[in-house]
Amino acid sequence: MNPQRKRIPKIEPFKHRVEVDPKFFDKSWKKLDDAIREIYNHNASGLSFEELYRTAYNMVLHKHGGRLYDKLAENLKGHLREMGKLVEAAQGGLFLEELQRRWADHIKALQMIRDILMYMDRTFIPSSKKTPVFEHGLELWRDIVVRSPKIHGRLVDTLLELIHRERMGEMINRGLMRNTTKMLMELGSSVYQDDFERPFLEVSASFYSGESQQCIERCDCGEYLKNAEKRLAEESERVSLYMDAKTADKIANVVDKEMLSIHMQRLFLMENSGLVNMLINDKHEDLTRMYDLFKRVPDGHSTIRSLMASHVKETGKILVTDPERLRDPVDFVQRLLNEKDKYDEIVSVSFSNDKTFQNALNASFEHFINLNNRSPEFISLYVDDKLRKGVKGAANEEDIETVLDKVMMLFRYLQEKDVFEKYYKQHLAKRLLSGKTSSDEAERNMLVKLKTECGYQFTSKLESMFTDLKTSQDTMQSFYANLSGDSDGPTISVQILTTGSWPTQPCATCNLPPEILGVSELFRAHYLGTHNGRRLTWQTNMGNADIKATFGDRKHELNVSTYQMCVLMLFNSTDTLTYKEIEQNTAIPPVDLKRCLQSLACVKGKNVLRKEPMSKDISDSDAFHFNDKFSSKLVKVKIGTVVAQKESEPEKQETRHRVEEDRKPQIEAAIVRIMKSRRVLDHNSIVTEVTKQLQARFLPNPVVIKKRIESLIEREFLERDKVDRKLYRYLA
Amino acid sequence: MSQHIGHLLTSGKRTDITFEVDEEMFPAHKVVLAARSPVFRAQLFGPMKDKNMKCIKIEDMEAPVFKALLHFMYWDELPNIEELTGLNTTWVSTLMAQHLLAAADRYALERLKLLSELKLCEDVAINTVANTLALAEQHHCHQLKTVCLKFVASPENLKAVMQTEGFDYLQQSCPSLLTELLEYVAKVGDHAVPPCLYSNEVLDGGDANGRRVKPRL
Repeated sequence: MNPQRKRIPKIEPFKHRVEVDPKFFDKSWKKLDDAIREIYNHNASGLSFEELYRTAYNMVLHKHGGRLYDKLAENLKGHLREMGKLVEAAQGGLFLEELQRRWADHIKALQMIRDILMYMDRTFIPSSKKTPVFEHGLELWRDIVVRSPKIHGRLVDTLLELIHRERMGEMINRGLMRNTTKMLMELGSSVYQDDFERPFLEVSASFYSGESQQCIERCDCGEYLKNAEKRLAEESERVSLYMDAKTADKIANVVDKEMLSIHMQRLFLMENSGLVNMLINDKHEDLTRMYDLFKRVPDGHSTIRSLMASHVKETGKILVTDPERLRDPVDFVQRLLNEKDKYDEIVSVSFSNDKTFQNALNASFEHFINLNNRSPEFISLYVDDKLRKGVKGAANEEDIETVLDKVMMLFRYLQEKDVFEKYYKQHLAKRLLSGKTSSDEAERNMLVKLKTECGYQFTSKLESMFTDLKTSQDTMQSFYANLSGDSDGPTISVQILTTGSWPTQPCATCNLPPEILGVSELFRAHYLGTHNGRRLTWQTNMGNADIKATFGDRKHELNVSTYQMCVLMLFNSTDTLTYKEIEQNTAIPPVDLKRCLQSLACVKGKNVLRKEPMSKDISDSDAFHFNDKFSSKLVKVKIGTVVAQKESEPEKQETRHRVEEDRKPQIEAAIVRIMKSRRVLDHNSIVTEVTKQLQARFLPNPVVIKKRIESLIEREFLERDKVDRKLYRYLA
Repeated sequence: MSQHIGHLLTSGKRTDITFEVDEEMFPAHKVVLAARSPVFRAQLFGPMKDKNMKCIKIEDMEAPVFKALLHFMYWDELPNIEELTGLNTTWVSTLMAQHLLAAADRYALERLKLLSELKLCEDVAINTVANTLALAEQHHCHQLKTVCLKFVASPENLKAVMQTEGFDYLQQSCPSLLTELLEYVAKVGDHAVPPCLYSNEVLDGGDANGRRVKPRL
């Protein structure tokens, strides 16, 4: 260590050396030139950074920056040309490797050169607007090596050939591929795109065009899709392993187009394996694959959707119009439910619960369910069946709940919800009055669902039916509490129905047996005593009775309808009666009477009466005898239960007629409401508005609407405009 | 933080490189130098570095200048000139600032360059301005250059500056500067013209403030 002498340092005013040596530039450049050569010869370790940096620094300081830059460019070009020759000379498989090696050398050299010439980069380059050293070095590499005519074509061809081989199943050197594409990316994204990506995509397109053509001849739809999926995965992996990430989407688009988009129609419509086949056979895995693959294909999903929708509509149409099916309403609806379940599952499993698919499905169901105008009736019958018998195998309320929810889905598809309402009321009345409902809670549940769906008005009458029964129970209790004296007579249980809430039945005549008359009058008196201003009418076409009957030495308890009771009681006084006598005595209308007698005499196992002659039909000249030979295994015998049946043709007409009648006032009310708020409106708009307002209940017929308008005009609610015949005005 | 790093220098502990400047030895820490200067980073850690480098010889620099440079790199402030040189004159501090400017440019220490530039702007004087001007030109310090040119061009200073040794140096090293200087002198001359030269005649030009005057008709 030198002893630190306290010397006074001499500071001179700062002067850079003035260079007078004319050879200054050349000498300095020579140092750099030699150094660069050593660098390219992997001989850099002997060089002194300090000296080289200072040399370059001095050159720039003495305003030789421009010349230095040009000399450097020349120098680099020379080295690059040499390297280019080496690459060109490489044979076959070694071509890429040689290219890589030279590239790595060049990069390393450039880094060192950049460091040495840092002063020029910082001070000369910005003012002269030239490209910095490193970037310039890359440009020169690009122009002299990569894009040299002898190398460029070979480079692209080699890369594409390797990719092709890999696609055909060979293993290739992926590391080398990655380094090469990385090099292209470092030279600039336009180099990568123009020199590699574009040709790659073109070649890929023709490859997949050929592949798809071959595949579609050989394979069925499912196999083809599996192959397409495999290829897509392969390409994605390829990109991630040795290409720029931005290529991923582009190649995926190419594969999508060549393999999927172009052949889409043919694939979907393939016989025995296409979309329809998959739907029919619940091929969930294939459907899922199809859905995923066609996500990106233009119109892919919409085509699947519309094919599915039309298929559902077709199969649905067959279902609802098949005369075989129409025989059993419960089975009819069950099939609909099964169909719905099947497609719901497909949509949820294979189509990821895609809302657009669900909507298409709903539209299809709505379409075909309404093709059969008995659908509302059948659905009501189905509910009736379930509420009577309970759901098979279900011990708890839950499963009934599920079934009802599913039925509600079908209900939503109905366009004529008011028809459903009518039938439901009928069926509910029968259930309630015969006490044949399996679960009160389930009934209430159903009502709640209907109320949620359609609003209070829909269910208010139905609810009052329940209320009536409850009230009736209370009334019966108070009646018997107040009844003093003979509890000898037959016990009655009265259900008081509010007119209007229950389905209207025409009231028929009927003579009740005297035993009944007595107690029923007592009841009437009791009721009218507590309720002022009301009127009670016995509905003899409903109701049932339990009769104790003795046949020889056998005692049975018969459960019969009111009419049947009236008939049977007559045989207390005699064993034989003719038809005419029965008719006279009971005053029951002939149609009902005949039916009643049929059930008493002509049904095997239930023939408490014997008919003469033993024919099926009842004629006016028939005679009936008490059948003391009647026997049954059961003590309690049910005769003539009032089961809700699918309506006969005339009944159906009747109901439909009533529905149409009910609709008229609703349409009129809608028209008046609309006109009141709009004051003046043209015909078409009225029709549109009315339809909109009423569509929750039913689809109004434009002809009917027109008729209603004319009726309203007659009644001076509306008037026609004098000038424009299509315009209507509201009259206050 | 500069305290902590600064103390590293004064303590001289754990140094891993030594610089030989003008026969004086300066130990230092590679990491600190590389962190402060891209040139040192390339030299000490870049692809050109020598693996067994222990001592680097630096030429074309004075020892006190290098010491000041080190001081700046560790303490991020200009050193006390008196401590460095034992002298305390404006002249010395100006000279030191000149050297530091060149050194800062060479080693890519932008802030040091700026500080030196500012100091030179403040201390511009007849006996140093010529050298400073040459320096500013070579190292692209525009603000400093303008300040110097203005200073030299002003009539009070011009003659005196032309007498200095620095001016000869200026002529030799940067001849183009003289042309620029002439332009500045001319401008100054413009402003010194007495107002009586301007009359009420229609002139196509501006008044003394350079504003266009509306011709009086």
